Amino acid sequence: MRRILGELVLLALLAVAAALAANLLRANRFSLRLPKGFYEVSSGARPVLLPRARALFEAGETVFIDARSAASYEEGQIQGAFSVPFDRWREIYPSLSPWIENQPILIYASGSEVSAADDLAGALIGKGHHAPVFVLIGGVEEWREAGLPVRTGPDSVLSMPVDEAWPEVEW
Amino acid sequence: MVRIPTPIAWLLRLALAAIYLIAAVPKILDPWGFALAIRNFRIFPLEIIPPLALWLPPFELLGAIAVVTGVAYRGGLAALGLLSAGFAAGIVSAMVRGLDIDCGCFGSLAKSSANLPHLLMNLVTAAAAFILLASAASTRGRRRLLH
Repeated sequence: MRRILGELVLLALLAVAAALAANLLRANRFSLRLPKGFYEVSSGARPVLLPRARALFEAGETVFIDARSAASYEEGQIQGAFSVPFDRWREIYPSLSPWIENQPILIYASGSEVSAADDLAGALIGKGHHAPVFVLIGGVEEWREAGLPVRTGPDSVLSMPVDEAWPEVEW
Repeated sequence: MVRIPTPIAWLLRLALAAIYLIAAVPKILDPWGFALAIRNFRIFPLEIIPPLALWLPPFELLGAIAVVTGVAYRGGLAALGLLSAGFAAGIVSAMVRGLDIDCGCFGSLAKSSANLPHLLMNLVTAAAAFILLASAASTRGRRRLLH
């Protein structure tokens, strides 16, 4: 019995060392203190922290969506993000839909307040969006503080008809 | 005294190790997803979840390696048996509270609900680990008596 316990403790300690070593080798280190907002995402979307969001942005395959009010969006948004305030998502959805079809999307709002982004994520998942949906924890503020690209002004794409924003190419 | 024929013991060892190897690797690669899976059970305080999400998968992996290589064999069996029993208890707790959640058993590799089939799988793996452990202990006892 003593030998079993001894081996068990040895394995547990080795696992601590292996866990720390694996985390040191990870490009985006896993923090032992996750923000509370990380656990508040309940829509089925995947919560992500800034390093992962940055990687998604740089990979260029993920559509970024700002779930705050249009006024907050105009004051400063993640570069290339669409403006879809949660309270207006139904009217905007027909214009948004062609842009996000089969595309991973990342939705953000303000700071650690994730409810607007999470609600919008739930709505889009409910609409049958099958590609991955991410919710950024930390919002545009952390993004800006990290010196990542932001721009100001209105959404110039979703405010115009789809066929003008995304004209069909004539061959 | 428990005696298991060697071929069957080897089959059980390989099956146990394979299950835990397959379960551990995706969780090591994605501790964020595993943290969410642990949180869904609503058993542990939020402060404990990140260290648990980081530590548990390597513990599974080392337990599996110990069982298949025979190095720290009994400790490995005890680890996998306790882990399976713990997971089974978590699933029972979720089922009793009516939580419809992903059990997180195989990380992001496969979505798997915390339901009866997964409870049975964990009970079977726990039973296999503890039977092998009892067999190993009794084999050691017989060897001592013979010498």
